[in-house]
Amino acid sequence: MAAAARQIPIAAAAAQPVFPDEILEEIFLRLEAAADLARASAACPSFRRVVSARRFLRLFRSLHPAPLLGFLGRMGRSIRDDRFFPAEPPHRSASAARALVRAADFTFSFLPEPYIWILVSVRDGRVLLVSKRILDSNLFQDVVVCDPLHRRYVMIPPIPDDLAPASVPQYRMKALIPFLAPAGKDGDEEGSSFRIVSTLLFRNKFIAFVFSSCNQKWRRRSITRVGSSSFPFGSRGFTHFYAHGCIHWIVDSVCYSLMPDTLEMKFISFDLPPNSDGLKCAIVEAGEGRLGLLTLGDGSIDRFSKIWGNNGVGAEDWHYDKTIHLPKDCDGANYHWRILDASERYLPLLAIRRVYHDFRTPVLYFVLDLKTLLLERLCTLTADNRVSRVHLYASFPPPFAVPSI
Amino acid sequence: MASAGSGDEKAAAAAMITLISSDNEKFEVTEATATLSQTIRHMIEDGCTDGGVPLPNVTSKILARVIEYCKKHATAAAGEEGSSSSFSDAAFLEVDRAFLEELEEFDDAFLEVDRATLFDLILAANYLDIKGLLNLTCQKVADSVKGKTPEQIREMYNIVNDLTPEEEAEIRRETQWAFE
Repeated sequence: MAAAARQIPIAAAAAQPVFPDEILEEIFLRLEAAADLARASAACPSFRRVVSARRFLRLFRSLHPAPLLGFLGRMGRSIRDDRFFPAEPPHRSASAARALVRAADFTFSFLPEPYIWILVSVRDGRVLLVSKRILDSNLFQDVVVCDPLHRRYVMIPPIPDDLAPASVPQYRMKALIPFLAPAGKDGDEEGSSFRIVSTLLFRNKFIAFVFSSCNQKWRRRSITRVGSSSFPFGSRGFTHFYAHGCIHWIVDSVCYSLMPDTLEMKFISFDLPPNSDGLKCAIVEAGEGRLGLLTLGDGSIDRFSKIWGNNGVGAEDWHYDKTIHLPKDCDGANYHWRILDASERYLPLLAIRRVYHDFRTPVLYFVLDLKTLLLERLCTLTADNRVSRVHLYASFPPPFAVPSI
Repeated sequence: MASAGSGDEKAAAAAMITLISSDNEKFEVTEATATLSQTIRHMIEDGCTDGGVPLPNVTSKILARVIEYCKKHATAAAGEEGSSSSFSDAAFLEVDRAFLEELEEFDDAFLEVDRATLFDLILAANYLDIKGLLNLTCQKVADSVKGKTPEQIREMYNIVNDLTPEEEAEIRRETQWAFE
């Protein structure tokens, strides 16, 4: 029996791989971190062959979320100050983030006319930039999507004239900054497709233009409010959240939601939980198809959630889930916290000490993982070069990243 | 759990399958246990299990362990089917949870084997196409590799490093960040 067992070439003195490739794949797919995969691939040629196969990497990427490596943001006032801020130690992605910095071009020098572009949205290793010229004309003429790691870009065709609205006085219209959205049902397995959502708001009309990279076409959807009722907008600009395929925005203590890419675009509104400050809230996805609401208090974040059905009708009230306690400064006092943005997976937060400010006061950037609700510090800047709008950048580090365009 | 699954078990008891290891040892198992293996399930469906199922790639020592795993998990599957059709009241949920915990403990204890046995179990799980067992054993190997250097991995698994120095330098250059 023992002799029979040894017929299978297990480890003992065997120079050849122990397992067939399919089993090595099964094992390596179960590694969580890209760094573990990198080190395993350096053990022997067969491990390396398995790990560098395109099919394997595609599977690995579909099973594990890309690690968060840092964020893009503007340090000064000029668009030339758009920069990448890598995760810093002790964050576990710090060394992978450095590798990304070495390999990628975050100055976008590979774009035609490198200096006319303004960074507006980041998702899945892709960066959406619009030409400065849109500021003059309001409709989006020049839009480019690029992959800074592989230095590739694709120019997005303009919105066709027949989709654009007939001329309207500009003061009655508000153009929202376009953003990258997941490919949704249009997507392919390779994850190489994306969508762009671009919107125009009128007093009582909302138009969404949705570009799909699959068919290279813009679609137009619109919704008009009947009678004299108008869409509610706050006086403080327009910050929106994108969750479950809907655009959400908050005015005072009411949340409004629009689903831009459905045939019958629906508009609904619902109250926030009592006593919530609309300026300190973020709308996020909360798992199991629920819509989440994070409200920032003094030194803590409360999470609420509610059912979010297919047609987005939120009949149910908010349900309080839990409180996340935020770290305190070295004197045991609460930082002044700010919510910066939100993505499907992460909520970036800024923390600054309340006492004694000068230009060298550290400004701490944290990220809350919305799935695990773990809060991690990403990096630290100083008050004089803080970034107030961040675009989180998650990607597999080289050589495991494939071109996203 | 036993009450929920007993009907299924009685039905399955009628159908017994004989598995024959590479060293010609015979194992009598219920169909419910045997069909955790997709390979054997297909053989049963094709009606080619009369006279026993020869498994020339699996020794009796390993087959005994594999059957132990399948028996435990077949009971679990029967239990799950039973409870999902019944009321999901607190008492049932409680039983389910206790049973799942027991199953987890079983899996942990099951993995307390030497490396050679673990590797044989992986090969058997792959050959017999038993998803749960393959997952369990491969995860164990993956966990053992986490945080290790290539040198440690080679040592752990007796891997002879036949990368040329040039190849090794290239890999290090590509993945320097994983070694910082």
